[in-house]
Amino acid sequence: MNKRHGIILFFIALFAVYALMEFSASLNPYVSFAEAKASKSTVQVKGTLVKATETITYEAQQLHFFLLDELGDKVPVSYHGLKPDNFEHADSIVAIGKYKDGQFQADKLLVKCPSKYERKGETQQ
Amino acid sequence: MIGVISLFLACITSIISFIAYISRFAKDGNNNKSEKQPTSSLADFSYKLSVICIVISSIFLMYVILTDKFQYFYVWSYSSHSLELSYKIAAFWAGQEGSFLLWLLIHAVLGLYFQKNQSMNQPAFIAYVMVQTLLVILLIIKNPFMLGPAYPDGMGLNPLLQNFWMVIHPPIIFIGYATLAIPFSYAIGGLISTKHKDWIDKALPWALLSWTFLGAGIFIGGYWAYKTLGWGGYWGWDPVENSSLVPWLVSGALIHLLQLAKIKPGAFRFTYFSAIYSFILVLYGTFLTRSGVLNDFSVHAFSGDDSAYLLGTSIFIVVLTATLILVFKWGSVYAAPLYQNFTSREFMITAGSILFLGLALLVLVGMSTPLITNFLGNAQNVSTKFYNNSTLPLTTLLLFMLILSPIVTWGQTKNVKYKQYLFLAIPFFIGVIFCLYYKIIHPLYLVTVGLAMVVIAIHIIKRQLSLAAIVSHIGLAILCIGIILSSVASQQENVSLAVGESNTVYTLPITYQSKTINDSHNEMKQTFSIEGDTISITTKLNDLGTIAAKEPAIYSTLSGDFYISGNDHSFEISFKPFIFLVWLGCIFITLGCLLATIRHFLAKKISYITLKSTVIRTM
Repeated sequence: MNKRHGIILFFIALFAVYALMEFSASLNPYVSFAEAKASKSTVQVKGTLVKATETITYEAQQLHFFLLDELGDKVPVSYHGLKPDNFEHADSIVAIGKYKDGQFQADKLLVKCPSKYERKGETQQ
Repeated sequence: MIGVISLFLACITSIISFIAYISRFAKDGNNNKSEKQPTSSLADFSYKLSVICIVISSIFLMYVILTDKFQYFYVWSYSSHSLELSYKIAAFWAGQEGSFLLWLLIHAVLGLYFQKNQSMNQPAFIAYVMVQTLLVILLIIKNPFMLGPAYPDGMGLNPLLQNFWMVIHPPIIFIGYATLAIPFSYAIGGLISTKHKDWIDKALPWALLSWTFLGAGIFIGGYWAYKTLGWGGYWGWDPVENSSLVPWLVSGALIHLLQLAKIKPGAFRFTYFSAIYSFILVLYGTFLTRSGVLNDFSVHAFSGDDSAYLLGTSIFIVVLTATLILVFKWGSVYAAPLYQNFTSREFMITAGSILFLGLALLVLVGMSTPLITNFLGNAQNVSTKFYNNSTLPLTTLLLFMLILSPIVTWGQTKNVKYKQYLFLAIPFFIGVIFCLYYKIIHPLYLVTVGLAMVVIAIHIIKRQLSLAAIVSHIGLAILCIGIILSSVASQQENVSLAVGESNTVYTLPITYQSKTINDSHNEMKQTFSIEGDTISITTKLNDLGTIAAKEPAIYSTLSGDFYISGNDHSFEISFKPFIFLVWLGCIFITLGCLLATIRHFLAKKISYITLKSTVIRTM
């Protein structure tokens, strides 16, 4: 009986270690662009979209644009896949990915659009 | 005005009845069972009054929505003149404030039932009133009766929510949330009165009811996401989804533990823990998703506005009270072992419940990471990879326990002839071969699908459990097979198509037929033809021409769904094998739970009637 409990405990411990490893491997810190450039792992950055139309290109499912972070750093971002809905109207964008070859290569984009209430000049909390 | 006044009155009367119940309990003490309760007292009276006030404010909110009173900010935000009647009714729970009111309404009306039939002991009902007081306070913080400028027309209901499933989803989820407060209150009552055995039978049907509704609500939410959101999935490990999944997992452990506690006093501690924490996790999830601390998945949006702190503080008080009661009374609960033998149903239920709690813990850690790391100074989030990878081994183990559950018996299983179960290798390998056919090679996926097949086979062959358990266990197995096949074996292709062009995707030629915009310029349809059928992506636009909602084009076949989403001319076409198994599994689980709920409510009623008739006969 006790031996079996020992085995069960051993497997629980083993699983805990596995879960912890998975956990730390999937952590994406929120960083500034300067930190993103220095980091080699996957990170999340948040910035506002630079809306001058000539800076946004979308060809062959490859999206290129510039983000401006809170510290005023401007960084080119590339993303492969479908252009998110309402991308041009985006307020701020969270990009998850790595900084590589002079640009931020995003695996995932979270687009935050101005809420529908703002168009009537209202402010919503 | 009626709305705000009745809400404030509801708040005051709830607080009065809460205090009055406490003082009555303090006076009466624990041992007044023989004495007759005073028929009317301040506590009972003010509780009834609070319920009436809550009903009035709910009716009033419905009234202002149906009569287009757009001076109310809430009505302006979620309704408009032209909105269909059914959606106007749904506007009641379209926003946070209204959905809180719906939750409170369900809670209060059920409270009236418990007050009348007195099946809760005094401390249990005090806990129930405490929760109601908390909900009223939350509603005063998030008030649906705020007045704004008198607009001639409202903004209308978000097009994403204008969908049958989204209309019924919130009430179902909130019935689940509200009824979880019942086992919670019973547990608190049991701890304070130290009558541990009394509440188990009473709480079981309610726990089953709330598990059914919570599960059904989650499933409907997933189905809606698949059909309307266009990101190709039914589940995204999003904080809002997780915050209902975690209580569902914990209460899943609870319904099994309650059954175990009926015959094993050793299970009481574990049952108390699950009963109390399933509801506490509902509150925690509410805080996480409703206070704005996780706004738009970004902890950067953390704003220290007052409502977040107020919400957090009031929820924290309830959580702290319940936890303290659990901690201080922990010693008074039997500490007998849960099982004597590994080959017993007791052990299977214990292990299964631990696995449920383990799964809940993993999701809880993941969803809390942004909040906790933000407090620690370095905000981080976890990717969905964590959830997928860490929950898989536990799910595999859970399926293994499910296989053993009809084989073992209560107490000790004697003379298990393992040889007679060798035939189970057949369903196992059918599952494995099936996976290999779909190019799934990860060993854990193979084992999981194989075990799920065995679960189905053994539950059909060896019908030892109740019909409800058989149906829902098979449902869980089908769900696991469906999830793995439709996600791991799914294939995806990005294609560019112009109108008139066609492309062959997974042996099926797909033609992009047309793109049309309706006369009022608020709906765009992109039509595709596939095997003679036409399917279309529907994009709803708002006045500014921005996209308000988008429905993907889905072509369902028995072997899987073709799923097309995209924008102007670039599309993402994916094939999701056997995704209908996901829906089928969900339907089975819900049906099984519903069966169990009905059976236990009927059993309660029958035992009540027989008790009554024996009393009459003996008289």
